[in-house]
Amino acid sequence: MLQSTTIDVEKIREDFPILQRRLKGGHKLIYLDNAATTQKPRAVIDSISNYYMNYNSNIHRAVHQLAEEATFAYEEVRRRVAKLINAKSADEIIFTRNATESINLVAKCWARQHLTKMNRVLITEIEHHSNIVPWQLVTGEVGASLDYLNIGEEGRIDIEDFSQKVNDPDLKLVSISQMSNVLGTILPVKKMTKLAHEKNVPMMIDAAQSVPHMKVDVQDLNCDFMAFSAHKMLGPTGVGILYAKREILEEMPPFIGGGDMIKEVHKQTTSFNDLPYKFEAGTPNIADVIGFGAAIDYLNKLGFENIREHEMQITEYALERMNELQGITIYGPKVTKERGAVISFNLGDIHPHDLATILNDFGIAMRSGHHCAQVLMERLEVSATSRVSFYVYNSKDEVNILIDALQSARRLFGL
Amino acid sequence: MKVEDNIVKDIKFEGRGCAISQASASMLTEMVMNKSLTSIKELDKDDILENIGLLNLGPARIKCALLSLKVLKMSMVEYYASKDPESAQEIREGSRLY
Repeated sequence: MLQSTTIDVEKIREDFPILQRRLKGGHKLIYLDNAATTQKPRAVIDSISNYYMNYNSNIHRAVHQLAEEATFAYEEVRRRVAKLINAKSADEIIFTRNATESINLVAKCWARQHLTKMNRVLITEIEHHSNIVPWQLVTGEVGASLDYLNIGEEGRIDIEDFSQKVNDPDLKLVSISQMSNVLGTILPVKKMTKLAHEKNVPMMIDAAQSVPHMKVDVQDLNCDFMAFSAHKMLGPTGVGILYAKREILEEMPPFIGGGDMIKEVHKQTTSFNDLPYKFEAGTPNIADVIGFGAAIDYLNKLGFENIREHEMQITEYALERMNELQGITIYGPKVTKERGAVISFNLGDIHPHDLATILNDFGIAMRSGHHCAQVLMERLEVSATSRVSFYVYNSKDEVNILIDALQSARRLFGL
Repeated sequence: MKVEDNIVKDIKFEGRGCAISQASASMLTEMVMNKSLTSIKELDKDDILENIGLLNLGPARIKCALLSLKVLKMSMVEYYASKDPESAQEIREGSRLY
């Protein structure tokens, strides 16, 4: 077994029940679609069933023992999330359904309040649709404009171009992803935040692809908003996180109205609850938030520096082996330090959907298509790419099987 | 698609995509050539899947196989929309993927 030096992949794999299953044809599952969603360790699955089996109840209101236990567990996860990204306070952590909802919350409750016809929002060409469409909707609603920062080769941005673009009195918000879900490019968000702040422009970071894979510190970055989701970091689906600075959250109006987000309700008026509850109307996804807590514990135990090191090693190995294939086009940075564990590519003129179907016969789960980034696809002048993305349980042995499968696809298509 | 007296006299397609979508589009044009619109209305997804010999496509790839049928059916919905709304509705319902 080709070992990674930082974490024990074989041991980790034992913690993931799904990795033990066999697919059609008796194949082992080789799961390389981690940028879409990750698998869940037993600890996460168990913590969810433990909640339902032992202390299921609604939170915050009731005084009975179950409610007390559930409330404590739910709020404990909020503290763990705050610690994970080094937020000043757990009050700055809002639970949503997913990263998409977190970005929409900022568009509806912050941008809608601050934008006028004269204003602009700035994003980049590498954004996921979740960091494009909410801005199209809100700028469309108020008649403001949506501007794009062009990307260069390998998905990089030109920092000079950025500092020129933020030097615009009409610019009200910058929203960019820290890591591209297609190219894996890591953007210099700290530097960009500093430049934006020099012009008093707030910064939102879509961290859906970065928080799961590296140490992210919101105080160090000094960003104003950050969105990410639990399911891309071993947690369950249905839990997203919005971080925002307290003073900003305090002046924002609520997102949706209902129970739990109120202080007092009268026939015509309502006073709203304190942070973070102002933004969490209705019964939240208690079980899955608790499950997310177990995922954070699991990742902390491995250590984010070790995870990043492991991913860089496997990505470097994969890039090296994939470059041996004739007719392959690999998109994104060549240097692993500047990229996450995501590799998009095309093999000759084989359509990515056909390639993914062939790889499926080897037990390989790989993504094909536009990856919710059609603006980027236009920029790359392709209609689709194939994409492999790695996480803590992927091994170099699996990369070898991927290469064999790609070779066999080449033969099948006569390349 | 060129229609004369309810009969498809000519049909061509332009496309770029995966092997399944391109092959099924090509085979669909052959299937409907010289057929009446009335009979094309009855074409359903099983006819296409049987014709291309892929009966076990999953929910993602079935879209590839049925893309051209969907385009054909939607153009018929448009064609019937004003002159025969009932048929238009029937065709629309019949072209649902899942």
